[in-house]
Amino acid sequence: MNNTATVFIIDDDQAVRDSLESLFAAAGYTTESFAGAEAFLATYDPRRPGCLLLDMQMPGMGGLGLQKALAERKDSRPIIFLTAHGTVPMTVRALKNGAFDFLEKPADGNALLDLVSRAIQWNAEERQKETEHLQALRRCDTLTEREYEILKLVVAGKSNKEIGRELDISHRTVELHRMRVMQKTGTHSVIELAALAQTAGLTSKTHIPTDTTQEPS
Amino acid sequence: MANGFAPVGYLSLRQDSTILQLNFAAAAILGTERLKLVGKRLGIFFASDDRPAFNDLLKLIFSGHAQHDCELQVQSQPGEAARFVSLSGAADTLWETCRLTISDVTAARQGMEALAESEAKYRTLYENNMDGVLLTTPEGEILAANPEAQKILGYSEDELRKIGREGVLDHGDSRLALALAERKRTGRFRYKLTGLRKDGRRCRLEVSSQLFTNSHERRMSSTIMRDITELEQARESLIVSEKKFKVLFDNSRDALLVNSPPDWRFSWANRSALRLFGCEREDEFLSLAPWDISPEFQPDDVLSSEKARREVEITMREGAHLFEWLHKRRDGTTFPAEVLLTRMEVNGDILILGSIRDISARKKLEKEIQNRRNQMDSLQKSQVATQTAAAIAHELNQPLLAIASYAEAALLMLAAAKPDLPKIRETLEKSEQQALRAGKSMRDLLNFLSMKDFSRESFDLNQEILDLIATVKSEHQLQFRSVINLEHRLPLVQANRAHVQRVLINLLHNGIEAMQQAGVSLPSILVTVKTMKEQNVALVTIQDNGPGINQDQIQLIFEPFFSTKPNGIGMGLAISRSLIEANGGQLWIDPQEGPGATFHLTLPFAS
Repeated sequence: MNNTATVFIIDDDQAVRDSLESLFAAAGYTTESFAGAEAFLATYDPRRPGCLLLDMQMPGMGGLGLQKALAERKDSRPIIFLTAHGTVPMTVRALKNGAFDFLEKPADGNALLDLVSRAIQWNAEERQKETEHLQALRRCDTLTEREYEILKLVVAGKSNKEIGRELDISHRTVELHRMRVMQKTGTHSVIELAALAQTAGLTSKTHIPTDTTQEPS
Repeated sequence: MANGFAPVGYLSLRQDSTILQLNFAAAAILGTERLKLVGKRLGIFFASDDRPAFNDLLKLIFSGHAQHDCELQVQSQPGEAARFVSLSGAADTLWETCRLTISDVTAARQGMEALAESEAKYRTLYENNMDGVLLTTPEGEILAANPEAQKILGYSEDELRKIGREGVLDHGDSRLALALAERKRTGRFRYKLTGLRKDGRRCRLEVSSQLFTNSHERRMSSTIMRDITELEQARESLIVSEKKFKVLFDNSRDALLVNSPPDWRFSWANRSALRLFGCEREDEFLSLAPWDISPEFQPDDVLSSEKARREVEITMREGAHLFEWLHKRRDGTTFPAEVLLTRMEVNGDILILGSIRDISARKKLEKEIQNRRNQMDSLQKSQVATQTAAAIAHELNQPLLAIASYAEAALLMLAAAKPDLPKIRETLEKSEQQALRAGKSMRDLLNFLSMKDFSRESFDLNQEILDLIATVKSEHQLQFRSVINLEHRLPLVQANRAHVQRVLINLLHNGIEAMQQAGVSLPSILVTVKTMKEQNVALVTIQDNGPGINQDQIQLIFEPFFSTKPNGIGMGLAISRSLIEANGGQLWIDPQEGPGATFHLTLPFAS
């Protein structure tokens, strides 16, 4: 799997594709370009990191059509739209549907590089969070039902006695479960355990973004 | 009487007519000297035809019949007018001689003949008269009636004699009493009276009557009548129709005028005419000359008098003539009018009837409509311009974006520790190419907006279509089947090739997108090219098998802003139509609803 962040350029104009490739290549990015939304979907691989530089007005399903198709596939890679004069309603729709940002053609090269860099970073962070979440979940995988219950109550800041009363077991038993939880998850303090629980999304405060409707930071 | 005054001659004759004695008067009547006559036979003086009559007269006289009148023609000399004498006489007591009186009756006889002749003439006149002639008495008796009188009244002469005046004239008509009183006073009358016909119908009679005294000293009257019923009716209907026309003429909303030759002054004008030209009374208007109601010049700068002469000439030649004219009111203001002149012949005179209608309001409205149309046109043009600019902006922004990106890339490459110069050069060259492309788009846009400075060339439309379809096929993901029906030996068309390409590509794209969106299982496009000989144009038909365009949208698809496409800005067809029209062709859609949309366009041939 190619883990290099890639700028996916999707535009029906050959010169636009070529010039953007030159630009991002010169800036040290890996690029891949497609003449249309359909061509992009033909070689679709959601695991590849990076961002999409998407022309709004294209023949066929067009930019908005591709955005919709990606949302349906829970693809969270950021989309930067390249728009033309007089496409405000479409741009608004694109943003409402979770576009990362947009630039009106002809765009300033620096602004384009800056936006792409932010998008790629955002994507990397998102992917990092996703990875940590998955790792945390995996560390909690071996816990039993009872141990989950104990973990939730511990990270909620309750003492062994309080937990024992609540679950109608002795505080010694609680102590035992707690040690096993720390052992299984590889944590050494309650604070570490709390952080893990949050990353794994086991506490109410934690929320892992999975849908594209979330606003970009 | 003529013979009353003539001298009477005396003769005495023997039985054998030998003259024994005669007086001078007798000699004068016979035209011979008295002494030469004595001893001559009287018979030789008479025309040979009349001699037997003379001999008979003598026989009668000597047989005792006295005082017998006999008229005889006197033997005349050649060249002499015939003379007639009247003889009467009686035998003497001894029966040996007789005495005769002789008188010249030539004049009397001529009078009689003339009388007979004149009577025949009068009878002819009487009997064949076109008027009814009656011999009547002042008291109302009818003594005689000629055939025409019988015909007019429907009675026979005998019936008329029986019924008299009472039966043939309506005494309820007060004019009859007046007429009779007038005849009593002056001896005659001439009146229009009401007649009563045998069939019960009344008739209008013109009756004239005159009193006279006949040879028997009796007061008589002669009456002549003429049936004027039809005449009166005709006259009445004439009056009615004249009144009708007068009402029509006076109340017509159009101004009506009558001009008479030779100077074509006005002889009549209706109320509308007076109102139209600002006159109070008809005589005020009639005092105006035709040139008083026109300005000196017409809008086309021709003298009104000059132009009017031409219009009258046309009217005289063609009978009627309709034209527009600038008129002038009494106060000097002018107004546009529509004038209809009609040539009329009335009692042998040629007149011109003019009907004038003020068309200021119409002209104003026309002008307003024209203004509004111009406004709409310029509005639409500016809308088209705006939308065209938007459509082309997309096209123009592509090279601009490419230029900026290449330039930025080149800058980044230059900033590298070891700049790759050939690569930078290549990048800058690409940037330059895009700048040139942008310039071309801009020129296209300007050419399109001005729609005049574009070149036309003659080219092979068939080849153009084959090339375009190949290009479109290579560009599109959608694999569609194309059926191409070209007319062989199609003449070259004359148009701007870039325009035609753009329109054809637009139409092909529309069809492909429509089929793609509808997910047509076997997308295909049919392109047909053929000649329309009557119009000297090539006809291109492009038909897809997509969903077609529904009926309520068909009216709109050529309007700017209208689009069925989610990303469309609705200019493609509007611009395409403008382009084809600018090239002298037409672009339209088959009004039939799907399946499939069918577009037609025409382009003029080069020849």
